[in-house]
Amino acid sequence: MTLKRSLKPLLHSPLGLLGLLLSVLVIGAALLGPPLAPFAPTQQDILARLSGPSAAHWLGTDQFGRDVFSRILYGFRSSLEVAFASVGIALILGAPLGILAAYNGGWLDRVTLRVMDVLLAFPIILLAIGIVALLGPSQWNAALAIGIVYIPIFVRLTRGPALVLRASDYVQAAQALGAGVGRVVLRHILPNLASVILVQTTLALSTAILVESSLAFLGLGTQPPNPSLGQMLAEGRAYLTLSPWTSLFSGLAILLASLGFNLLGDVLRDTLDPRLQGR
Amino acid sequence: MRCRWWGISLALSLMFGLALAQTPVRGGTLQLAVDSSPAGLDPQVATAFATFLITGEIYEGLVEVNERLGIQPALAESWKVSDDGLRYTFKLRSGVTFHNGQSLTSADVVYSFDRVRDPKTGSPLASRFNLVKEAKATAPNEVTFELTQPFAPFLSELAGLSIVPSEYVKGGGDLQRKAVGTGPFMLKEWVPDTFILLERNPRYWRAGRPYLDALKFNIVPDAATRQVGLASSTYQFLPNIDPSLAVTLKDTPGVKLLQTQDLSYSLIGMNVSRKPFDNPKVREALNYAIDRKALVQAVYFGNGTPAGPLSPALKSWASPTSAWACYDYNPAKAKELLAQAGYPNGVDFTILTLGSVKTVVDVAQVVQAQLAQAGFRAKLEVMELGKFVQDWRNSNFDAFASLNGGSIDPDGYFFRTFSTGGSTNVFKYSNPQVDQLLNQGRTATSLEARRKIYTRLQAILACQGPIAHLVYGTLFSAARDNVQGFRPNPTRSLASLRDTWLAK
Amino acid sequence: MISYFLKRLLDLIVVMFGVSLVVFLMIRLIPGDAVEIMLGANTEITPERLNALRDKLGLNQPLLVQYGHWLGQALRGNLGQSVWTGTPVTQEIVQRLPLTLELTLLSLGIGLLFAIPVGILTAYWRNSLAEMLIRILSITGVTLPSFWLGTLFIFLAFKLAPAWPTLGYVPFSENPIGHLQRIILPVLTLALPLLAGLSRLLRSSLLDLLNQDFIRTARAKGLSERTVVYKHALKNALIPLVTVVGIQVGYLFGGAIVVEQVFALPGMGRLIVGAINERNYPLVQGSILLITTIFVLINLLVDLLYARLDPRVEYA
Repeated sequence: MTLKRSLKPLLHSPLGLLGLLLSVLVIGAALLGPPLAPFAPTQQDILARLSGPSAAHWLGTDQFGRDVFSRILYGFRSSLEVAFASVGIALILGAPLGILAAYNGGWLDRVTLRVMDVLLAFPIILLAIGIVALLGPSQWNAALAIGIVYIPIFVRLTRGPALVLRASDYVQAAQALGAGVGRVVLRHILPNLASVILVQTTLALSTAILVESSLAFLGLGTQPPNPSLGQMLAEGRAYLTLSPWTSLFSGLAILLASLGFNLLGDVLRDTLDPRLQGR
Repeated sequence: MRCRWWGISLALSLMFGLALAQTPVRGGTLQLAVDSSPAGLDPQVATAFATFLITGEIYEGLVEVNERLGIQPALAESWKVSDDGLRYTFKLRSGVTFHNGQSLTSADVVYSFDRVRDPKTGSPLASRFNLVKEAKATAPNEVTFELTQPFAPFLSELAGLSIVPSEYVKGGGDLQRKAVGTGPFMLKEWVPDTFILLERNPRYWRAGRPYLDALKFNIVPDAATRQVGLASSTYQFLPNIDPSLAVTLKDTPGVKLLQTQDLSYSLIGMNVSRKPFDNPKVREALNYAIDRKALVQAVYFGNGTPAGPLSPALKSWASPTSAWACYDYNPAKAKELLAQAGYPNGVDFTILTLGSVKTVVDVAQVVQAQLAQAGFRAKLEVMELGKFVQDWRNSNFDAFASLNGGSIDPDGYFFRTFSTGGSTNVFKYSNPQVDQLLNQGRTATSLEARRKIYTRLQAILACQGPIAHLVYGTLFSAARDNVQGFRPNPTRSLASLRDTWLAK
Repeated sequence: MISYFLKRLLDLIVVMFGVSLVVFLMIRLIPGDAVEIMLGANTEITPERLNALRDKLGLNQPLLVQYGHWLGQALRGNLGQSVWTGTPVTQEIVQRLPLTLELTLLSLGIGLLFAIPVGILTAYWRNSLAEMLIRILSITGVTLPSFWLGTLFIFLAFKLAPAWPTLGYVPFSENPIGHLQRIILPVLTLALPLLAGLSRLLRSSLLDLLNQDFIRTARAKGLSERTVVYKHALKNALIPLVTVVGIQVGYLFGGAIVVEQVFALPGMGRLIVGAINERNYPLVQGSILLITTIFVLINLLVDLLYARLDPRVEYA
């Protein structure tokens, strides 16, 4: 099934539409939010601190009177930057590695698999915590950490199908006709894996948002005063009884962003990969 | 000395008796919640508040600092100072025993002192006794300290010297894990990251004390969890809490806040061996650019006072902050000074921020916003303790934000921090005039002379020193209503838990 | 089967060797060491003193020597001693592991226990509206951040049932009821996302199976729908559930790190995070090695179980 044809059902499924809508909304907020945000995300107004939703501050204010709505818009941006960067890293390193390992077989395959097994032996959060501790806490180090942790996902994802494809008649034929490794991979194997990769990428974005917010919650992500959703939630928790708004809305924002990509990936999986139907 | 002290204690007990109009009752376990687990319990090696919170109930010194920051007798019942100020003779209280049953003798005191001085112990207190020649057991119940020069703050430094049992430690006893002191409570059980249980010392030398059967320090890292725990009576006492936690607990039914002036202060430290803070004008500009009153509101919810180099709790030493022009918030003046220093377009620098203390992270965020108004473009780098200490120790910073514990004598803080090559002078600050004054200050014996010296020092350090002192917060502890008799101490000591009881 | 098992075991040894190397190097490359933290910020800065302490802890030896020594001891079952307290690392772990295991297993148990009926019930409920609702709910469940859920639980419990003891830790042996009362919210925090994911998985594999030939045959034979579902479909639908359990254990452990922090529970998660912060090298190395070993073994077990349950799998 080609990519273009299979994207159509996405628009016909209400859930697919919802997922698409949420994802577009969150991405849009991240891209356009900063110019649209009513306040600068670090602008403090002590007199208006810890207030609930109002006409001036749609989602209330935090401990320093910063506008929660504006901070969430910027928080989306920082979450998505990390999510896209980390999944990008994992995809760019993992997918070729998986395909090459499958294509070459032999020691490359064995070494790759063992290294991936080592990475997979760690609980995700734990390994990410270790890597961030090593590099120092920052937004981009969090992205790098999540990226490294996610590499095995894409290696495993591509290696299996690539093994099958390598043995398939038309790849064998292409090789017989003298096509090089690069050509076979690019022209014959990769396009056939596009749909699985797309599904997995979307789902990985959703979980990367969660991992990023966990790291930020533990103080290992974007550094204050720049907002990130997990860090806002952590800061807001200290004032939960005085003003639950900051942590409530930032928690919802994390949920929304993660939910959108997850729904999207889920529906994509149904339409692109009928064998893996989620229903 | 002895008579005077008894008089005070009588007056005190009368006062408290009347104020509370309730007689203490014996018994019960006090459930405390604290944020972090001590790494070890050796009081002579520790540097963390988390350790002192526990060891303060297990160990005692010859003298102690009370909640009004006066020195009062503890294991020494009296002392004499020679006229030249070079010899201190302490008479030990009789009938004091360690938790393992051994009696306290002068040998234990000498051993404790020598242990602190032994480089192998790695005690942070060692440098505080640089001017002491030796400690000698001049009788089984008498210890004499010989000083090389008169050292006015000697008694207040001595309050920090916990007396440990010499036989026990020499015999291989591990103070990090098995604490043995003379204090009102004894270590019963320690489950790392869970709780530390102290039980009543039945042989405690203060008759009838402590009132409580046991103290259980629950380790609860999360502030929101501690808050709910106190509100729901899972815990009964949260000692030394963040100002933000105090605010959220303020109107909780059944919960009361106990408060005193904190000796600890928030600060911005500046590295004078690096640009831009090598220039005193830039340091002065930074002081002008900080609105300390707004900081008190923003971070401390109004519960604090702008900080000079000395805490207002040190009433006889601290100069009022109105004495210094740079304490009047003036971003325009700050810009002007920056321009004079050669930074007409402002400066970029990084503030290392100690992430393990919420107040520090909050202070850093507000200060950063304030500084931005005056052309100081600061980037915050929030780090956990390990990395922070490493960079701090190696002077690997432009500036840092932190919270420092204070000392009750100005020398205790100033000398190691501001003298050239001082043990915590990570700023690489060096000012011959300051060095000279610091040496005069610690050896002058008349209070009046010392006061003059420290007033001058404060004036020199306030605006152009390597530290911008920010705020002395109000120190809050939160307790259930039935927790009685606790008197908060500006040093953050919990020694008064020996006088605490649970009303029925 | 035996040769397959041996091959897997060999792989496992190679992986564990890699894990030990990664853990060892990672914790040592993190800036700042135990000595720096031990001496803290209020002390004499003499390089001699730092060096003396490092010597005492063996931190001045070449990395390779340190690694060899540690690994050699670890293979003999000696994981060394905590830098800070001198307690044997194995003893520290033995104190902490049961709680984390309990949290993980209870969450897994509750997740499975509820996932099965929910999965079956929702499999009956097949119109498009239901489909949508289930899907949204289950995906929402999966994407709920555990630190948020935990906080909400604490505050809700406090508002609704102030007398309910939600916080802290009481050993089971001391007070079984108090223990369970305190552990229920953390377990729910971990179990809820799990339940959402597992029930959905079960539902979809049930639906898949109900359309397959052997089920159609069973139906054609006139067996009741009940028998079809319970006897034939369910048995097969549980297989994919088993395979994800291995992955879920890893997820649960990650969740436990956060949940232990929020609920003040003394488990492995807090032990490891605390040890990383204190640069307690032997403790970090020992406990991560143990956790990953358990994790890898569970996955091996799941694979073997899967091979037994599903006759189609070959021992390749």
